[in-house]
Amino acid sequence: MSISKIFIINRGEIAVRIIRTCKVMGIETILAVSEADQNSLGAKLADRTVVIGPANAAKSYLNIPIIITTALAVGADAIHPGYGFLSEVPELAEACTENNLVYVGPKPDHILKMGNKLVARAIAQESDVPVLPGSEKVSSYEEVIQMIDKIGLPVMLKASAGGGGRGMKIITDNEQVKTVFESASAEAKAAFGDGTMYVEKYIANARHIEVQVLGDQYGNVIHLGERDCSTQRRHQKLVEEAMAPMISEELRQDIRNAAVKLAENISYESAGTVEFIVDQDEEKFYFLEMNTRIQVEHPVTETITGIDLIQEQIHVANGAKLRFTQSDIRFIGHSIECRINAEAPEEGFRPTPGLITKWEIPQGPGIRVDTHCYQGYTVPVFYDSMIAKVIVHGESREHAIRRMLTALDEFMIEGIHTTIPFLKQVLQDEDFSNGHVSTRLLEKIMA
Amino acid sequence: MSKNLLSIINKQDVENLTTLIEKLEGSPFNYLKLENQDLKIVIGENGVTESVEASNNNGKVTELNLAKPESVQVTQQEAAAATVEQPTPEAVLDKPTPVKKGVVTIKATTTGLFYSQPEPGAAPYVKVGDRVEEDTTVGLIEIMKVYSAILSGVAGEIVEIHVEDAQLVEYGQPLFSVKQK
Repeated sequence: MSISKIFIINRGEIAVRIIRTCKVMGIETILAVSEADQNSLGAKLADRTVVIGPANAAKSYLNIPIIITTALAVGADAIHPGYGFLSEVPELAEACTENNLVYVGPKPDHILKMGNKLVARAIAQESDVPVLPGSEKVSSYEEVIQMIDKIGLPVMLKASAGGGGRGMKIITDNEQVKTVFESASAEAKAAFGDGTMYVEKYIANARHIEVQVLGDQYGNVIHLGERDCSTQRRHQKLVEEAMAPMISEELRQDIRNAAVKLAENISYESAGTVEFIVDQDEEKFYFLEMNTRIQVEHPVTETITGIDLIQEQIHVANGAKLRFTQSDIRFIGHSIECRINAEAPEEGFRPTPGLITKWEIPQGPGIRVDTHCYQGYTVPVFYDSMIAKVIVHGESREHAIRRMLTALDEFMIEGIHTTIPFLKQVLQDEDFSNGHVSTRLLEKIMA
Repeated sequence: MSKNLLSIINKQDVENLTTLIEKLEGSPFNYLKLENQDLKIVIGENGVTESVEASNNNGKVTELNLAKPESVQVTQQEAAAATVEQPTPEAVLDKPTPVKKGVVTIKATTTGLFYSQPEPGAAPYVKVGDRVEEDTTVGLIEIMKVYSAILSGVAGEIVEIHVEDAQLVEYGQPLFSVKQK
């Protein structure tokens, strides 16, 4: 069966991105929109739009019964979930199968397994992919000491119920263990009502590196290189690049091979991303998680490989074999992506939805802008604040940085605040320019 | 359900609320807001929808959905569906004004498949010229084999039907025009 009509159940730039590839492939597009997204660029470009509910995502973009009912009523033969929303919800993939709709993504089982941190960790270990040394649970400070004997200092003591940096303590010396454990556990109990703690190896000088993989229904898996997404603010990626700068060729190949091994082990289908944390001091890497969907930052991979990832997703979903073997994949130059958000960096990154009164996007060789906005568009208050992605291609990293700075200079947006000034500052930072990126770079720049 | 809320609202309050909801259904209004220093209760549709907001003295806000029988839910949704020429909630609270007589549109409150008749071959629920009351069933909406009755929400005469049987209707799409009594 060949897909001829796709129901796209997402919004923003990714909806536009998917529609564009569908047009090239001769596939009809039906776009689901909430009441608040009826005027987005995606709504203008799709062959047809269906208002599936109010602005509230729970009643529109997250409502599986309405989505399936609509897909069948409009005669779609496939559903593309994009990223976020229902893109990693196994129930949607299952509902598609039950209703003879092709889900453009992996099998429900892949989503289910990788969605559970413990199962994913077990699969990684089974595939000989290193995982962050640590424990499931520690109930006394003696157990913490036993763990430290095994994995070495420093370690991070984390509250099971914690999140967003709360309930985390770094232990750098054995003398501290008793006091730190007792106070952290009591603190966790008071804050979260649960004093359960666990121990993990602490990586001070960390990089976030992820590998794009692509698999088909016949067990073939290849990688399309890695991306460095270390430049994050509060775990939100801001700048992504391919390939990862300043790592040894040996480490690069090891990381790529580990990702393929993991994906092969579960016979992964479609596009997926295996995320690793890299310890720069020790030149070691550890599995973090696998994302079973297209990523926001996929364009940097497309730029250096020349492969349209959405097209390959659809191709594989159609039941076709991968059109490339590993040796067909070539990496040309360097690519950087900057996420532009409607936020005021000078006011603590406060979101700034509203009417865009001026919108002039950068142009020229090696510049790509993925966006759903235009002059006269009102950024709605209901969804995330990303309004555009600027992606550049350069013959070298240095070249790409200069091209990005030129592009950001040219990007004229009025009516709302954006993160463009902050991104320029990041790109001009000496450590960033030298490729010395780490997950703590932005802390340093903002200090 | 939130612990905070239970400490604010007692059983008697719940009973009073239930009575209020019933009264509201029988009225031409679809929205009621009660507020004092410690507690704010909003009943109705129009975006705020079926939720109770309560704030205690610590300023913590809790929300919960009112558990209601299916039929009540449909009634409330449909009462809210007739949104044309409604007075603003504030106007309702300050000085009850009668809803203007005129043509009101019954809109779809959810995306789904519209059915004009209870089963294939049966007579339609309503046709142009029929008189309807607020609780008259004017059609069905199906979402994955789950059927909900669409109630008129207004009393009057059907003057136009905008949709066909078994058609996909979108959220907010006009279904019927009703000339109010």
